[in-house]
Amino acid sequence: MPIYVKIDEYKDVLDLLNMIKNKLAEAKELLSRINELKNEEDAELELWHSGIEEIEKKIEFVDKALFRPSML
Amino acid sequence: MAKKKEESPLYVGIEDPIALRRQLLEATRDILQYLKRYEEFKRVREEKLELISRIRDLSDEIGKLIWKIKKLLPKTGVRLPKKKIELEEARLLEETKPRIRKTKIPKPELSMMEKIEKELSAIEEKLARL
Repeated sequence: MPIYVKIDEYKDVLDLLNMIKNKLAEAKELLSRINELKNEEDAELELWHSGIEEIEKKIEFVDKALFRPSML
Repeated sequence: MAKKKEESPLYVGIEDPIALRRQLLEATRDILQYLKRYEEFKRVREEKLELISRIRDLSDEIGKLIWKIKKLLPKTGVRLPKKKIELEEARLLEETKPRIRKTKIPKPELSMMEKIEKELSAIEEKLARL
């Protein structure tokens, strides 16, 4: 059973639909950029993780050298 | 006595002072590099939060636009005809159901999540009826 929409309102609906489409495209772009940033963050955190382990090793060396010289 | 102690202090020997100094300097350098990187990390996070807020605004706007379309479209009474059996069953159920006096219980205020869920189930219902 078809329904009938006034022509003016039909145009408004089309305009609104276009606006929605544009906003959806924008949202898609934003989401993809957010994903990129998230990956950047993750990579950076991973780097920090390994970096902190490296620093820990160096400090361990210093600790041994200063406080437990016989262990070297 | 204290004076005597000062005159003969004790020393701890460090086998490889150059390596020790190198390790200390490298650790300091690494820490400074990470502090520098942290500033960049902060910038990335701020940008991400800004984008998330923009995407939230966008989704609100899209919701409003959809609502406008809904308002522009005519209300239709198009419903799938219910089967006779189902109707009969519903009537019988209504007849046999014990009557309970309804008392008004004040509804607690809905949270945003509950509101969304309510709207969603209303839409699902409408979709199912189409």
